[in-house]
Amino acid sequence: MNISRNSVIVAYSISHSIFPMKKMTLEQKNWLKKFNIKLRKSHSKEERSVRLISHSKKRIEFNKKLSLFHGNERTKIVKVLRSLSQNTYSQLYLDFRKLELIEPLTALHIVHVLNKYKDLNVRFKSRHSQSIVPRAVFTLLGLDKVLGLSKIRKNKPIEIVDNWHMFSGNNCDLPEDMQNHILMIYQKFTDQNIPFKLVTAINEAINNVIQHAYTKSSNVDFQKWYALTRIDEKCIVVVVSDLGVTIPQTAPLSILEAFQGKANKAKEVMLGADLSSLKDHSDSKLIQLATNLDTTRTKEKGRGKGFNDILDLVRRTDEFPEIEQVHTSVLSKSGSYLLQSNSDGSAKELSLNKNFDDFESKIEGTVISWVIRLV
Amino acid sequence: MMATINVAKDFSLMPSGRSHTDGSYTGEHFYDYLVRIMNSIPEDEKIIVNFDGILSAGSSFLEQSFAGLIRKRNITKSKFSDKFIIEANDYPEIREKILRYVKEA
Repeated sequence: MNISRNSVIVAYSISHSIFPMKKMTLEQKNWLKKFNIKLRKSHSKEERSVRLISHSKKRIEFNKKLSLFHGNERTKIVKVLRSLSQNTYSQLYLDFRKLELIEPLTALHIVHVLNKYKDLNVRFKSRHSQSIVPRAVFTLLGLDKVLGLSKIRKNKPIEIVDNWHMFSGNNCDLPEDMQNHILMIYQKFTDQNIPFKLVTAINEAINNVIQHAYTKSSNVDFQKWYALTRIDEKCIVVVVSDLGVTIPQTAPLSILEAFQGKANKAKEVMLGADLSSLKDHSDSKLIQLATNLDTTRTKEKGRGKGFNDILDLVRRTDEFPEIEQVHTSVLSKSGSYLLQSNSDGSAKELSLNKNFDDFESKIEGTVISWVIRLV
Repeated sequence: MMATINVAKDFSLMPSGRSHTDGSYTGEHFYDYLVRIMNSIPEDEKIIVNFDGILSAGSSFLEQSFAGLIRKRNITKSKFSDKFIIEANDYPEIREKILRYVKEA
């Protein structure tokens, strides 16, 4: 039965023209009732098919926590971000309804990639989270528009979101608002050695981005770093992101340079493998090796002291009674490297997957985060 | 007589980066500053470089500025300690790092 929307009006008019003056019988009333039900059903089918067309998009449903640290969620995030370079984003429908938490490192990486492609004027089709926190984070980080979400109006301060601050730059000069923010970090500690080490680590991470992440062939307009801080009573989180050459891409060369002139046996002992097997190492293993080297891919003498600064605080947590735990994470390409140390001097070095295995999905660039839990 | 450089006041609270192109207060900028001071005072006059009050001091910055003096032959390793007095009362590791980078240059 092919019935258009107008048929409803026609059917109603007919019923009145057939029975203009007389009162309708029960039989007539029932007929009209059935006819209208039929019409409604056919319309709802019609509308459903329209809805299905819009939902012919591939639906990506995010779970409770948006995080690059968890395999499944990471794959979804990478798929969404990759759709920008592949120009397939219009085929996706992002469902954030279940989302309750956004992990800062992940948030910054998403912002960074989305901003890289901002000239495409991308508008995803998305469904907002039912929770206020992720909605506030999306608004704070300016992601509403690109994700096709409505802005939230914060009527009351939400501490967890008001403590998020994002900065970016394309050289080692920190923006003024970030410098002011750094002064706030200093005020959190009695022992000024802690913020000194943290700020030096941030500066050195940014310095590494400027010097090593972007090659000469990189797009000059987008040789940028992004940083995010989240400071509350018990925890300080700092994240630095770049979208340049990844650590696993450059690590083999850095490792070879570091071991130049050393005896093969020494190399094997230090690497746990011979140099020819470097190419077989996982990305996570290569990050681990690279972070423990004193060199970088630039080959110039004197370079490559930076990673020591980046990991210094996590390596010396037990020296600072104000700190309970420091957690440094490095995500680059498919690899992950985590170094965690506690106030009692215990420490562990690991990747997110067992035995330094990699994730299936590759992220663009590198993200480093420090999570400092205070006593 | 001694010349004194207070890095936090005379240069930057947060020096960072290695090359001129990395930013405004990099190791190469500070190297230039050190060379200017060296050239403006008598050869036998010492230079105190005071790091108190700074908010960060990355290895790249320290290495480029001080080891740079050795690499570019502005001063020899053996004469470095006669010429420069490094003061870092807040963060003594700065002094240790500079001396190490000079030694390794």
